[in-house]
Amino acid sequence: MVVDTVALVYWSGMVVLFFFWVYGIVSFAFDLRNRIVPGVLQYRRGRRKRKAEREREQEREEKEQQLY
Amino acid sequence: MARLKLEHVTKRYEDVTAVDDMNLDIEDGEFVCLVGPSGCGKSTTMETIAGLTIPTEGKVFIGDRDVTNLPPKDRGIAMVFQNIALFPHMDVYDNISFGLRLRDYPKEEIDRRVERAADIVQLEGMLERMPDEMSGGQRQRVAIARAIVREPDVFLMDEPLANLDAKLRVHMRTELQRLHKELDTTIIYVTHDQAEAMTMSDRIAVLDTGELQQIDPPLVCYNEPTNLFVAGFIGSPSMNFLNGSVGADAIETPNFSIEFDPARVDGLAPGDDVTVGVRPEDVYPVPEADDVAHPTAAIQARSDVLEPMGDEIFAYLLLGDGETSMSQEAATDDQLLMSIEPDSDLQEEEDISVVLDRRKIHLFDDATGDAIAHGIVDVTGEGSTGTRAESDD
Repeated sequence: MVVDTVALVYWSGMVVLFFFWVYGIVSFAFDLRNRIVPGVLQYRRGRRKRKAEREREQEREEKEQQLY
Repeated sequence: MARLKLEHVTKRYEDVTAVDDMNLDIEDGEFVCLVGPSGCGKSTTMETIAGLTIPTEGKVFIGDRDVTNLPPKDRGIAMVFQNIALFPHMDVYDNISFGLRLRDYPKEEIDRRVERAADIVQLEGMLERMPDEMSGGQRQRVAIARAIVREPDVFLMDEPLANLDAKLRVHMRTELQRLHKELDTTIIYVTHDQAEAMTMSDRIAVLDTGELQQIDPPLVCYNEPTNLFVAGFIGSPSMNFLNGSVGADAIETPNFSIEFDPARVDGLAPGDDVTVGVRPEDVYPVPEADDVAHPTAAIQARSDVLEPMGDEIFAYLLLGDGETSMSQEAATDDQLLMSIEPDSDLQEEEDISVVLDRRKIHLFDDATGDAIAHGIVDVTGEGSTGTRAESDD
């Protein structure tokens, strides 16, 4: 009876412990796929776009100054 | 000075065509205004001429040179922008001389040109001022002086007066006309203000949806518009438009008939649908219609709203049963706008008889919008300005 109780506590503890461990790993994997990687890509795209925009504006400004 | 020519210029942005097959031929020393509603392609056309935008198709010539792919600095043009775009940290002298210093002109030459330009735009004694110490009109004159010192072949002006108040705009309009006379340089001027276009230009180019609708002297655009768009765009307030259909010897509109001379509307057959156009100043109250040589029969109307403008009164008339208010969604066939003398005693909600001057009635093809006739009565030998529409020639 005591042995059964110890086993039950042991396995329950293991389940709780490993459930959250696995849960954490899976959640992190999903976060990585759905939030972190797209976020980084979007940030880099935004930087590229802003840079291209800046270059276009600068080019436009230089052209306009040629008309002053 | 130089002649400017656009040959089949088209500019597309992905799926939007900003300028569509534009052909323009502008003579030496001409003052041409590009007018049209927002998004009609006038600024894109200007930028194509300036070299700020490369056309998708077509060629741009300045003088005899093909400048389509040349950078702006090699085109021999100077541009005045809507936002004025002065350098805030430079004084007037440095702003005006910027283009010359960029091109390494000698100091003496720069001084000479700046002084002359400042003299032309009446900025003498202000060369050491900073832009933030000047009024809007003075800043705009600095921008114009900056263009003048370059002594370009062609001046481009992109709505340069748009940011000025109404009084200053009228003043600067006169200044620009004086400047054009003095410099005798080709000027291309973009505006959406038709009063500017009418008063300043030798010719007006009317644009819509990227296409050139008409290019003619201001009064020709006003008196002989090539299509419904030009007729509606040029003139303030706008021309009255009524739906009509051709009868044996009269145009039948929903509320009245207008007799016409068949010789004036050659090509129309009974039953054809037309749009009748008449300007507000060509609608006369019957008591004042004695001087109208070729009036229509009297038309019964009821005055709705009167707008006193000081030098004239705009009277909105209701035709037919007179029950439809202008404030409601009324068919245009039931409305007529009339311009009358400021001392008229016409009151709102008053019955009135009016006539139209048949020499000034315009007919447009209902399907295409193209002008069919300007004036529907034969006035040969009377010295009338009304002439047959020549748009199809």
